[in-house]
Amino acid sequence: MNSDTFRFSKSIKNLNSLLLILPMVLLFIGIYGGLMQTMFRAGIIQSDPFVGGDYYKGLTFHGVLNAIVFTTFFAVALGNALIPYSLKKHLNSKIAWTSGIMMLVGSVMAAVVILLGEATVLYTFYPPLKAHPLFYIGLTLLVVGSWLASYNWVPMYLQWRKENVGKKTPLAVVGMMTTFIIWFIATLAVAAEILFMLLPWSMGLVDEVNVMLARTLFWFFGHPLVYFWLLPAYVMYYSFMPKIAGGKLYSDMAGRLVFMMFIVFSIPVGTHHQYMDPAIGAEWKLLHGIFTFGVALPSLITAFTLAASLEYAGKKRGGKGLFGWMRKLPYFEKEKWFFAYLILGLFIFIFGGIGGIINASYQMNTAVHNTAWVPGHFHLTVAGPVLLAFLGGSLYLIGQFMHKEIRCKGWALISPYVYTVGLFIMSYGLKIGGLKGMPRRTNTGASYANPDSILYQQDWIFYIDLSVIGGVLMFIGIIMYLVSFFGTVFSKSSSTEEGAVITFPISEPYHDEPAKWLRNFKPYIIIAIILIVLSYTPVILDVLEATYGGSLPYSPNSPVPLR
Amino acid sequence: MGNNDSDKGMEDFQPKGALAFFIMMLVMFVVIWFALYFEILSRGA
Repeated sequence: MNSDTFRFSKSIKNLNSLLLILPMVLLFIGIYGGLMQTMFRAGIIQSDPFVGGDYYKGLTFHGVLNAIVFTTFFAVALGNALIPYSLKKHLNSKIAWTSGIMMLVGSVMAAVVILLGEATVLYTFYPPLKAHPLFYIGLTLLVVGSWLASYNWVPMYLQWRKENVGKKTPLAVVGMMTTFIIWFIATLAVAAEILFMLLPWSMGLVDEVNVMLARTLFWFFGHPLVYFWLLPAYVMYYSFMPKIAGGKLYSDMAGRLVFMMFIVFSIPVGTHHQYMDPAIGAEWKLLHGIFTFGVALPSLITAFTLAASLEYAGKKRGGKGLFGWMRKLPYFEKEKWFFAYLILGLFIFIFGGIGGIINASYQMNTAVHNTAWVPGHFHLTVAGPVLLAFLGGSLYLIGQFMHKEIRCKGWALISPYVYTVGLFIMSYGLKIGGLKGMPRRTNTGASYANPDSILYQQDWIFYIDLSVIGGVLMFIGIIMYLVSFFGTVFSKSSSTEEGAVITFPISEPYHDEPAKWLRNFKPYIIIAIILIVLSYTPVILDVLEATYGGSLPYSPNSPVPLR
Repeated sequence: MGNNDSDKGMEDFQPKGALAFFIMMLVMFVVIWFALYFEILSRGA
């Protein structure tokens, strides 16, 4: 074992393998649900042929399993691997297992309730749609389990700081800690929403719920959730990608600055999802809109820094001229299959990023709000850079923890290309269809895409068909990936090691600036709290002043309240 | 997975290509943003 490796105990090896394998099964169910969504919307099916149930049940398990469950598990697994590796310290395995079991039980509980049709509330679980109490309890266990996982890292981090006075914390650790600082602050609001509003209401302990307050608390959590998804991908972009490409990270300080900026700007932005909601003053919506432009800055810094890092790698590999380096990167090298997942995600994110800026532009949001443009946009973020980086990371981690050679590397390499082509086709269909007025969260197959319906919209059909073609290609890409992933899981290991000896391709910095002002989380957390208080206090006051009474619970199947 | 080749010849590296790429990306952002902006204006006409 050298300084580039770290030995994990058998217990942590088994836990992390479990944290990667079980969510991959749930991810597959969710992705199957995504394929069915395109079929429903095109009118090809009216009921799910395997799982049963309608469009909204499918939309719920597609969103919850892919966007909340899979992402949370991967973020925890990556932290459980990268933090001990980078700090050369061991996890407390009892805490790690407790957190893992809570997450697993919670996720399976929520998934079962959704698949039984008792929680058809979509991934935003907006009231007045009501789910079975076990859905809310399951989500709570998932979130609290993830909190516990991150608390397990704090003593290791503090101990390392004490032993390494004056040294910079490894960038990967800064990134993972940032991810979970944002996650912790953001999930406080959704925990309050679930524990004090939705759960008692779902159990029948209270009759009514304040819908606007619940939506506002949800989006306090819902937008930073995007950064909880993105930041583990950023950790891999900054820490792994330059090295895999054969180069160096152009600026270590840029990475640290980006993570601190995310702490500051990630949370006081949620109301830009509520531009069209009543009960919140326009001035506060505008303020959240301005902060949203602030949170675009770290992504722009990232775009330049990573491009510079890749230019360094490409020129080292013989690239000439202004753009010659782009042709020299290892896009199709089998042994560097991980690079494809990262670079394609970045390419997709160029288009996801500008879509986000359009959504956040206050008046422009009116053109796209609640249209198919919105899923077209967020598939270019969470189902683009996030999913691809997490898939690549999962395959890398499972190979490392189970000490197995990656199987079907050719499939693993081609999979993200097939998926990306499908994603662009699907998102183009959804976005342009959305601009023509095609709604989101609507079973167009039963209405606008049904020639027998008076709602039939001939000029949307081409875009709906594009989304089916794209969805099928994305599904094929994922199947290719899963062949490699499960082929690796079920292959024989040549190792006789009890634990796991792990290594990561950590990039060296080209510019290693001292950046002392970026070495402590505290000032940035304090600024974030001040901005949150300033931006959310008037919003919550507006909501409380403008709303009265509440709503009885409903299901999507009936206009009559459930009680 | 990484590449440990030497950094010979890279001492004076300046990311001119990355800068050009970044500027082109910003220009594309502006074009797409205004395309949507004029789409809204056309709806009000």
